[in-house]
Amino acid sequence: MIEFLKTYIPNSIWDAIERDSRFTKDEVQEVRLRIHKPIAIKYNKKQYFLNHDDVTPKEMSEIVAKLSQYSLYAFAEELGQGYLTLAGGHRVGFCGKAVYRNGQMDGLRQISSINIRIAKEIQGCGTQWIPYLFDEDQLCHVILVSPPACGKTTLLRDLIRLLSNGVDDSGGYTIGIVDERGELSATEDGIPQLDVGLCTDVQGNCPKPKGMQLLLHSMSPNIIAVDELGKAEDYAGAMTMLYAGVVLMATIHGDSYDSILKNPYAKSLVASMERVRIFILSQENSVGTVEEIWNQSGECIYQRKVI
Amino acid sequence: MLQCLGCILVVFATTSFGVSFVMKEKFRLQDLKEVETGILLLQNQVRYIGAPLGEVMEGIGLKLNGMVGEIFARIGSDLESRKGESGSVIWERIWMEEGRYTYLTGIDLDEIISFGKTISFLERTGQENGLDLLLISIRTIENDLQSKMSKNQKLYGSLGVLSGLLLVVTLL
Repeated sequence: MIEFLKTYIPNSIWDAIERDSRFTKDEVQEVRLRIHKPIAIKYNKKQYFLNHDDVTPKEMSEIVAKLSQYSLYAFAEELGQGYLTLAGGHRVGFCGKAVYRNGQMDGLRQISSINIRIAKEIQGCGTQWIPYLFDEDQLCHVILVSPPACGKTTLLRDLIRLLSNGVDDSGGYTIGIVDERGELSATEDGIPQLDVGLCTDVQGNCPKPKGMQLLLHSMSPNIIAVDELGKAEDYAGAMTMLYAGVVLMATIHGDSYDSILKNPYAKSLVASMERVRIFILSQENSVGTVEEIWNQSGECIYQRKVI
Repeated sequence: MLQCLGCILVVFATTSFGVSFVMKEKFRLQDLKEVETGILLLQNQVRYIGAPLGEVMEGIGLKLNGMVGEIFARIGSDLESRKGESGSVIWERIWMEEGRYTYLTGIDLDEIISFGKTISFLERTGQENGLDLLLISIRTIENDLQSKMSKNQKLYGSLGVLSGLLLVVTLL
């Protein structure tokens, strides 16, 4: 699962990761590198420091060069947003000195820390939740809510795959994904590297509002899926989809049903939905734990039993 | 008869020697033109498409002829597989390893390799400016070479024939 890291990090760091027996390589969630600090590995909600020297500026420079394919200019926009997505859907976050041009953040220099989040495809994690998506045989809008790194994207991807491949004996739903950061489908050369189903079209590297419009006008989707509604424009775009009669599936940052109600954009979006299922996720039990499911009437129709 | 044949062979050999100097410069000019084409293509890709260097170089390598094309392709391949600490290291290593199989001289290779120091870590404008500077250097060398060639072509050719004749006369 993390073999891809070998391409991007110095051999000495990779050897240190391989030698470490405190964690299973396949379960590593994050690798954090900070200049003049030890390398941190997040595994099973815990953080471990590798038995390796602190990251040197030269090593950081090498890692950044390899992550950007030795072409920082080609990723200026992504760096300006503080992250880029690698093949396989893994997201790399950067921290450094922001560069501004005409009042807008244009990029990052003097990168001092990197966070590599390992993407995971867990096929079947959404199977048990499919029945909850229907209300009197009608597919509901779906909102997945959780703090970062709780498995929203992984669950959304699997729900998309299941619906696209078809539930029961019916053919699959036609699904359009707006994959702005490439995390949902991890397209490479335009081809999704992760399984998003047989009837799914992917609009990649596109702002969500524009992507939703393009899919609506050109691909006649039954469902439009987007990852991480955040900006006001994202919510405005999502609202337009509701008026168009398309089922919306999206993820939002939050930690509870109340957090959705406190977010004015999210509250307005949910209020406009005739049928909706709001999943609240956490990593209490493990990443991707569904704690609660709420419907449009504000009723909790599922709550995880805590033993 | 044998003497006649010998004379012809001597003159032919010395003339060929003279011509080879001219041809060497001609091939050098050809290689410089290929490098110029490669850099122009690279500049266009950086300016208008902004694709990563590895991807771009491999494509450019296929469009160029001879050893220069192979060098670009190899640089692209090594950049794609991240076989170096930085783009400059890869650029320099490959030009130093493979450059000797071209007709480019030490001066030409120095210019090309020094461009590599700015490769990969600059933003788009900086990258384009670096490419512009390299193009100016290459074109200056080409212009000098072309004016030298037109003078040297006749000179080396004539020197070849004359030295052949001198040898023949001396030996006879």
